[in-house]
Amino acid sequence: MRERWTQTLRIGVSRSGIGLISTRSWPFGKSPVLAAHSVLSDSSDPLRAAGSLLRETLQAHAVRGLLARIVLCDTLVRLFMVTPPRNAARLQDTRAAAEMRFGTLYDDAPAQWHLDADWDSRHPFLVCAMPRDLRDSLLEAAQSAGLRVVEMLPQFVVALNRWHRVLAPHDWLGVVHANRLTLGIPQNGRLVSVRVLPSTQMAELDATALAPLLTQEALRMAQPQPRHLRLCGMVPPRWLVPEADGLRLSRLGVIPAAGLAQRAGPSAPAADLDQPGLALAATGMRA
Amino acid sequence: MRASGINLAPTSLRRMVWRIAPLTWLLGAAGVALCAGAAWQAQALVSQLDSTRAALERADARLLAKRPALAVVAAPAVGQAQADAVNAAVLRLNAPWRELLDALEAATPRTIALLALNPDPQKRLIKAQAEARTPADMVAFAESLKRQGVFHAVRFTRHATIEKDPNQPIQFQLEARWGDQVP
Repeated sequence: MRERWTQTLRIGVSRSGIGLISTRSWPFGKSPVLAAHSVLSDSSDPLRAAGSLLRETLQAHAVRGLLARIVLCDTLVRLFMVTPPRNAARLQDTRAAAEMRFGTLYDDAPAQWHLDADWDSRHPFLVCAMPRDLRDSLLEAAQSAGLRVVEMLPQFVVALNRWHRVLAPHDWLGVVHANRLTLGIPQNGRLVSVRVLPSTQMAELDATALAPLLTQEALRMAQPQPRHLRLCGMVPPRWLVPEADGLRLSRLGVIPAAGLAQRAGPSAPAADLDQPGLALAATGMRA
Repeated sequence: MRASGINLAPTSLRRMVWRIAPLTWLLGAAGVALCAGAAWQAQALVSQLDSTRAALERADARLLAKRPALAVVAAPAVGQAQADAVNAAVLRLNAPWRELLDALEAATPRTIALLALNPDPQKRLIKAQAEARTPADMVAFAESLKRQGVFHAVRFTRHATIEKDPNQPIQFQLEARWGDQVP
């Protein structure tokens, strides 16, 4: 019973796989990996397949009554910044501005998307939009397994919340997942832009080519050139150099695979942080 | 950079409780403990105060029991006539003579001749006898007396025209009350 109070289930969800890690706040110890599964690549609807896979996986484990934190791959959501109108005063004004911006950017109906944001009527704020179908299917899977979902966030927001205190006012935050880099660009300690660099651009990119790419992004967003990029997630080893072309590179939050203990049993998966679902679930975990 | 408050999970009490930081819980618990300690201490002080008060009352009772009874001194007997005389003298002395005379002087115009004043301090009443040339002067004198603020009731008790006098003046008497209204 005591474990139920201190245990939390971290669930990583991406198009390519899901991962389950059980963490314990007290006594702090190794976190057992409960499951790591890949979604079949030939599935016609990977989002629905991920929901079904999560439901089946949760049914196979004794997770009833646990608190759940779901970490979504950034590709499953849409992250964008909204500048509030000058006369915005109420929450409804900022919400209307966000929905209008969503329609302009993606030419899509906001009714099919669940929006949440750091609502602010005076400064540009971050908005996250998630397909309602996906949200409903994940919540239904969690509910049918007896989980109580207390957090559902994209990986970028998880990383931002975990390391916002160690980021200097002009440090750029980079979250890497499956050859995709999500950049958080600050100005005077506030997030002013979020850019997602596509996987085709990142696949073969090495550290020396990273600096010009970031400079290009800085020019595009009319921001000063970055000096320090703080990386987290599935960072390619070729980027792990101290400095490249005037750009400092450092990694945040290295979770040693040894910190993820395997659960006893023949079906226990290996603690492989290269598995997309596990990498997502481990985002922001304390080493 | 600032943390983000985005959360796509459904809003629930469990989610709100979960978001409260351990330090906040700790501070809250410390606050509750401090309040409980203060309440307990206040209760102890109140009971201590009660016991001290009870001890004081017991000591007072013992002291009163030990103190010899004071001899009752009989009040000197005063006769009714003597008391009435003293009361009348006190009333006469307490009458606001200066204010009454000033008010009468200020209220009396040249057309009025005051013939006699007869004050009655016991009834807070002053009777005046005067002469006026016309009835209008007589009434104006009464109104002027009322306006002084010292007298609250002025009424005529008698008036008559003196036919023997060639000017045929009006002689009249009035009563004016001062001070609190006597029922």
